[in-house]
Amino acid sequence: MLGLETSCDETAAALVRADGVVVAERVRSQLAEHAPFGGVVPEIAARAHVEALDHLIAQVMAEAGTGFGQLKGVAATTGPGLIGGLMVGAVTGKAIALAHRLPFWAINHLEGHVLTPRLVAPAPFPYLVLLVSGGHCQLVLAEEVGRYRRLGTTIDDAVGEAFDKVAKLLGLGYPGGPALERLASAGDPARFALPRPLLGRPGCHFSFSGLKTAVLHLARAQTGSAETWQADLAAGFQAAVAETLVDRTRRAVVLARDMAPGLDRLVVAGGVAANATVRARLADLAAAEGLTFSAPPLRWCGDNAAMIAWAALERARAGFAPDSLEAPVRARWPLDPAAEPAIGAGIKA
Amino acid sequence: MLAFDCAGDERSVALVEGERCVAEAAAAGAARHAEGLIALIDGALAEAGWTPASLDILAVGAGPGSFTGVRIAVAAGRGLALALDRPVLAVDGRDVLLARPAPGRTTVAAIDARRGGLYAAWSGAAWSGDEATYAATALPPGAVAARVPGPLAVRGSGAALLAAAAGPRAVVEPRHITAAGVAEVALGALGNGAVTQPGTSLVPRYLRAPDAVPASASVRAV
Repeated sequence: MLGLETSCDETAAALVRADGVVVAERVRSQLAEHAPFGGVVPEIAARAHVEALDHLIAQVMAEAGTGFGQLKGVAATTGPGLIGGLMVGAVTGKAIALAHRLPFWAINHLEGHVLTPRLVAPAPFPYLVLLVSGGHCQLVLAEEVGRYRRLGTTIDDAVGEAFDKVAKLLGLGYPGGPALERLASAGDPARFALPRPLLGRPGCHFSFSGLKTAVLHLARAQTGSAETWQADLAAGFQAAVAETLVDRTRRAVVLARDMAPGLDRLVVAGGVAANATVRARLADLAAAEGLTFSAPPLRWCGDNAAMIAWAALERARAGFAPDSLEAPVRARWPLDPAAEPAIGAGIKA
Repeated sequence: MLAFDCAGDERSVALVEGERCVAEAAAAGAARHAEGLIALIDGALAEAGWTPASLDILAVGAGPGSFTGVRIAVAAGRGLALALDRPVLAVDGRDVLLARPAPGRTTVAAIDARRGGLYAAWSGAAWSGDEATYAATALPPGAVAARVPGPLAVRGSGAALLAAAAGPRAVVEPRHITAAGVAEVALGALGNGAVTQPGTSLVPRYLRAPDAVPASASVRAV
C-alpha cells in the first residue's frame, strides 16, 4: 500500500506491506520554508507539497524496487488539515490510482495517528489514545477499526500550538517545541506559579490559552537578563502542560473503563509525544492505573505516511470498501461524528 | 494525448488522437476541482474506450489562474506522469486564448487575477508562443490597455475588465480556456519542435507570491 501525507507542513510517502512491514518511507519537512513566518503559512505549504510529493513517491518506489502496477492500493490523507495541501495529496493519490486502476483510500489523518500503535506492535482493541500535536489535542477511545469515541478535545489551542507560541514569545524561533524542551531541561519548574487549566474540573477537555497568557505576563514582568528566568519559566510551562495532560487523561481512563471494561492500554501519539517530560508523566500515569503504555517511535509520532498506508490496510482488513475517485477533501473531519463540538474548539477539533 | 485544465471555474478534459478530439468532458465549479478532476478524466477514458496506459503524452493547463486550481492540475499531471512514466507539456492558458487570433485586431488574452489585476498577453511578433516574454505578474487593466494600441479583441475571464479599461476600441470575444484548446496549443507547439518534459518539471504558473509577511515584520499576536 502506498501512503501519502500532506495535511500540514510535512510531505510524506511510504510503502507498507499488509503485515505491517514499512518497506520504504520518506518525510520532507517544510520547516525551512515556514520558519521566517513564525508558523505554517498554508499557501507556502501547498506550494511546497506539490513540488516535493512526486519525488518522494519515486524514491520510495525505487527503494522498494516495486512498480505501481504491483501495488494493492493508494492511500492519501484527505482530512482534517490545511485544505491546499490535502488537495495535493488527494489528487496525486487519485491520479496514481487511476493510472493503474488501483483502489483509492481516503484516510482521516487522526485515524492514522490512532492506529499507529498497531503498526508498531500488536495492540488489541480497545485502547485509549492521547493525541497531542501542533494541530490536535484529543482523548480518543479506539474500540475497533472505524469506531472511535472522542472523550475530550481542546477548547482553544492544540498543545503543540501552545508549545510553539510560548517558545515564540521566549524568542526561541519556530518550531519552538523542541527548543523549549531543551531550555526547560536546565530550569526549575517550581519557581513560577502557573495555572493548571481545567485541573480537577469534570470532563476531559483541554484548554491552553490561559496558561499561555500567564506565561506571557510573567515573561513581560521579568526585568533581569534572560538567563536568569527563561529556563525556569520554560520548565514551569512544560510541567503545567504535563500535569494538565495527566489530569485530563486520568479522567478519560475512568470514562473509557465504563465504556470498555477490558481497557488495558494507554497510547500517546502525535508530535508532542516526542517530549520526554510528557512521555514520562504519562508512563507514570499508565503504571498507576495498571495500563500498558505505548508510545510510537519518534519518527511515527509526528506526521508521516506510513500511518496513512497502515490505516488503509487496517480498513481493508476490517471489511471497509475503498473510496471513490470523487472522495472529497475536508479541512474538518471529526473522527467521532457523534461527539459534541467543544465550545471554542478551532477548525481541527 | 490527454489534456486537462482547471485553472478557472471550469475543469475540462480532452482526449486527442492525431488531431482529432475523441472525447471531451467538462464540469463547472472551482470548489470541486480536487474531487472531480480525476473522475472526469476517468469518465473521458471510458467514453473513448481508452485505457490509461494507452496515453502517450499529457498536456496540462499550468495557469495562470487560481492558485488552487492550477495546483490541482499540476498535481494530477505530475501524479499521472510518474505512475504512467509519460512526458508532459505545460500549456499557458493565455496561449489557449490567443490561438486563432482575430483578423484586423490585436488579440489580447486577459485572465482575471482578482484584486483588480489581469494576467495578460497579446498577439504579435514580440509575444507569440514565447512564454518568457509574457508579463510574469498581474497587471492593472489600465496598464494593459495603455501598452496595446489599436483595435482589440479581448478574450478570457478578465475580458470585461480589460474592455472597460480600453473603451470602445475593444470588443469582447466569447472564448474561454478548455482542455481541447490546451491540446490544440500543445499539438501546435510539438509541431514547432517543442520538447516534452518529465512530470517533475511541471510547475504551477502562480505569477504571484503567497500573501505572507515574515514574522519580524508582522504584528506578533500571541
